[in-house]
Amino acid sequence: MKNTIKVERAIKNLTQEELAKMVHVTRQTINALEKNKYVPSTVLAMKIARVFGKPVEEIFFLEEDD
Amino acid sequence: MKAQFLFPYQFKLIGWILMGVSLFYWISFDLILDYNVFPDVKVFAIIGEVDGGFLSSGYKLFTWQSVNPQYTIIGSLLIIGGLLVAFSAQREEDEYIAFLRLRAFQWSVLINYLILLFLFLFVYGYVFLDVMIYNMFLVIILYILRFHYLNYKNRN
Repeated sequence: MKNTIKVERAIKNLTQEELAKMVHVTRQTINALEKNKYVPSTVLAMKIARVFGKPVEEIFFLEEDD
Repeated sequence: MKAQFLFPYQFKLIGWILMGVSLFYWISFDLILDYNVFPDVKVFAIIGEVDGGFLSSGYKLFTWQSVNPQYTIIGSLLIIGGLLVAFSAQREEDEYIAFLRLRAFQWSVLINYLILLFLFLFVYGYVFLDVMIYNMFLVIILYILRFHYLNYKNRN
């Protein structure tokens, strides 16, 4: 699964740490998400999308092998 | 995977201390000095030995026995300490840490049994008993190492 978290973070001028605090996870989690090392739970995905003010499908994308 | 059965973060230090004490005693007093500080004590054995010592055949059920508790104490402290370290929460717990915990458990169980299989195939004789004893603690130790390694790797 791909995501545009890094881009969205840059748009909103947020550090990984700041975003992490807003969605109640650790900075490592945000880092792992951006590196595509981890697929978030539905709840976390929706929390992140809400921070960026966009629908979940505009932040997270299914890949061929998902 | 939010609510897990984890001890509070503070218990981790207690676990490290228990592990440290038992390992220190075992390595220095048992392996190096071969000196036993513990006197024999009476314990309640659900399954106990018949007269004749450790390797005599047969057993007695539900008896009070006079035994040396050295290995009982070392082993118990190591297990309790290991469990406290392994099952204590990190300072911050979230779903990704829970994911890393699962990965670490999978890895440690797999590696433990691969090592055990290897030892089964290539170790014979009395020393095999030692192998079995060390293997008792390998899973939890592997887990502790692997989980901390995964955390360290992800911190950067």
